[in-house]
Amino acid sequence: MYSIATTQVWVNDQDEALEFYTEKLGMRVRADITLPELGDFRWLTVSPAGQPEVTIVLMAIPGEPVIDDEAGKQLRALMAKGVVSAIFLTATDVHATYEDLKSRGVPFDAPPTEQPWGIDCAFRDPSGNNFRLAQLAEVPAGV
Amino acid sequence: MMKIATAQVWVNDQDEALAFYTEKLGMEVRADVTMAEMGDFRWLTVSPAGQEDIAIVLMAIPGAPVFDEDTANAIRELTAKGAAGSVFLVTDDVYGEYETLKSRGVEFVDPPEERPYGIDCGFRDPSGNHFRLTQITEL
Repeated sequence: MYSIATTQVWVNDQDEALEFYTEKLGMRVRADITLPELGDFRWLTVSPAGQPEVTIVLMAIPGEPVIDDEAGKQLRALMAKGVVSAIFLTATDVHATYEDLKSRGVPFDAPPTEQPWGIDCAFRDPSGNNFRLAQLAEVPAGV
Repeated sequence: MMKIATAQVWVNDQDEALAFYTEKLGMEVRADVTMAEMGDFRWLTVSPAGQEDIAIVLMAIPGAPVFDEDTANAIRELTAKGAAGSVFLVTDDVYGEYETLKSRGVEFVDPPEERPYGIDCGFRDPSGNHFRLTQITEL
């Protein structure tokens, strides 16, 4: 069998991202490896304390030949709009986590609000990636 | 404290994706909830057996008013190129897993090969999303 090891975000600047994910979100660095044999490709991953088995890959947007210029431009435009993808983070106490992250400078759109799936708020990272932070409601059986 | 709960892929067709992820990849459905109060938004997630704390969200690309046509088209194009992002799957036995998935009809773009970080192969889902399946070498 296999397991899911990563979820990825594209970032404009890996050092800027590293600072945001560690200092503001409080995540731990799980890998920071530069591979000279792969053109100095830098594999940079972070995840919350207590969750070392799954990480967020902070991936720099490569140029040609991996990603052509047009695709690179499209990606940056979508990132700036916050629509490349969303990652869900769950918290056992969303109000406390919200206050903690906000005090460290994480830019939330609005305080947590009740949604059909739980109590939920959202923020974006410096590259525009969209995150939802949710305290999930117990879904009744059969829904 | 918080935890990472999802990795997302954009899909062209949720039913096609569901068939691929369950029948070919052998994942289990974690949620399949359609919310009438949100314009029939369908929250569809899957993950491997034994890994219930994280799931892959098979997200349909929404149309207007959520995404304008240019945005939706750009997402479809990038996904088709495999440039929307990658998900890494890890295994203790990459050759065995490769043969199993291949026999179920998963089309690999790279067979298992030695890399600096381990033995690694790659496949794409029906929408173009890029997956790596890796047996990691201890560095």
